[in-house]
Amino acid sequence: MSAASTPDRGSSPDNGRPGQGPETPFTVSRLNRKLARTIDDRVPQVWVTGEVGSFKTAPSGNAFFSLKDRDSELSCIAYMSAMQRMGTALTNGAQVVALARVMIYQPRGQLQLEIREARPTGVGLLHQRYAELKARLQAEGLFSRNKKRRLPRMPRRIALVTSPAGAAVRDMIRSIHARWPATLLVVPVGVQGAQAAREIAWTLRQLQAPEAAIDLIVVGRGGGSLEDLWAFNEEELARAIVASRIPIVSAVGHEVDRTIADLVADRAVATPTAVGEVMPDKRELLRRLDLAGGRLGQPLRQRLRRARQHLDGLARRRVLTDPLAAVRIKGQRIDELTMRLQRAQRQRLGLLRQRLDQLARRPALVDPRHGLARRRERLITLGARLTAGVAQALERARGPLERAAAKLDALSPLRVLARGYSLTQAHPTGALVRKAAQLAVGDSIRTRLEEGWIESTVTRTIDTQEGA
Amino acid sequence: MSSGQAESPDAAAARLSFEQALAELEQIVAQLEAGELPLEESLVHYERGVARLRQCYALLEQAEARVSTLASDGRGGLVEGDYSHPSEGQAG
Repeated sequence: MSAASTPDRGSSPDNGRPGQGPETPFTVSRLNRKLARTIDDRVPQVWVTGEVGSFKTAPSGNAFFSLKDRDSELSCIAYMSAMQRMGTALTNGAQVVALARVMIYQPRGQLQLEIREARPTGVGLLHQRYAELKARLQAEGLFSRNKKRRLPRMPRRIALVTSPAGAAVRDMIRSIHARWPATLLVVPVGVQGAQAAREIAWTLRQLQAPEAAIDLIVVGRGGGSLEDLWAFNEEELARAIVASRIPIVSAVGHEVDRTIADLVADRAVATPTAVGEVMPDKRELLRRLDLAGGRLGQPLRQRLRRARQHLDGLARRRVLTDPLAAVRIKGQRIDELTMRLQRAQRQRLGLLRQRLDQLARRPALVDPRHGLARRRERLITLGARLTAGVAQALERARGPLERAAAKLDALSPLRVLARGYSLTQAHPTGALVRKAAQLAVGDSIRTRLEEGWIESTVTRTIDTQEGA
Repeated sequence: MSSGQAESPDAAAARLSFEQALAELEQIVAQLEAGELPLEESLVHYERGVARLRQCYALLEQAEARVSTLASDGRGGLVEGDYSHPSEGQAG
């Protein structure tokens, strides 16, 4: 280059050197080679800092990306062997300090950096440390669900480990008290800066003291950049959270990555304002109690009501309301049977009597010439005995029947007739004649005697009153 | 839970946490609703349920919405103090 910068190069007669005149141009390849060599000589290896972008990995394992700052960028390549050394430092958005060889990629004449080494810096460094700690704690199983303590269902004393002056503490207080009237204890700590993680970890250990009587710890702060939130990504704080006997809720404002504190805490919410979400809802609990109270009495009331209905049903039964009803019904049945027996008895007696009457009227019996008068009498006697015998048998069988039979016997017209009375009936109607006025001259009548009948014609009627 | 003198059932019940009391209450309700207990036993359960219900209400009422500070007393202990947020101090 020093040779090319001689003052007289524009009009130099030395036109034979390549590129110095239209007669001797560089070929593209040759110029690229020359540029490559020149860069090689002058800028062999440099440290460069910038942000990684457009990161792509080729199937070969080589990585292509750019390093950039606000105004400018450079194409970069990292060969597979270098990539293996550098691990995760190269990711989109990472700030790195890289050791680079500046070179021309001759096929395209493109300037590029071959990255041989890269270290995260600033946020990039934090990203890397975050990723490493996360991987390590995860491998220890500290994020696993079964490591989590259950939050108390009804915390009475809740420690708020945060800055006492920020918006975060106010948001936490409002958010918790909106749902749950616990006693909140603000435990002041710094939440930013080099000492913050250590201070918070120390405070968490202090709060384990039984005298503090803390049921639940909320640790957190408002949102911020990765650097702002860094305390919540420190291992010391993570360990203190894991070691806590008291359940811990992490409430660190964040938009993208969850902090390590979020991952190891028993519960995490996205902002301090959201901490109320993990609190019981007093109104909900009261509603549940009211409901349980209602349900508590219900089955018993129902049961008592059913029992009462059952008792009422029993009480309404006839045997209890009218205990004599059954006796009455049985009595009625006896009456009914008695009457049926009486009826049957009357019928049988009537038949017997008729039969006797017929027998008695037989000429052989009536006519003494037949010499059978004795037999006839005997028959009549037998008939009477038979009647009496039947009556007796029935009497033995049934008291009421006996009485009925006796009465019947007493009323028997035969008895009356036997005493010499007779019975007169109109003929042929058979109507019993009680008054002379019932008859007229010329009427036929039939008179029944103890034995046999007489048929007569009325020749005169005399009214007793007239005759008297 | 010390192994000393046996607690009376009432004292034991008084120490129940809200969760335990609520869980027991809900269990009692379920048992009563199943309707398989003899009537007399139901009444005993019912009475116990009512006791738990009262206890739960009492525990809920005990919770007090209060804010204070808890800070180190410099001798390894913690001490409670009054708390007011700086912004609220100005506003009030």
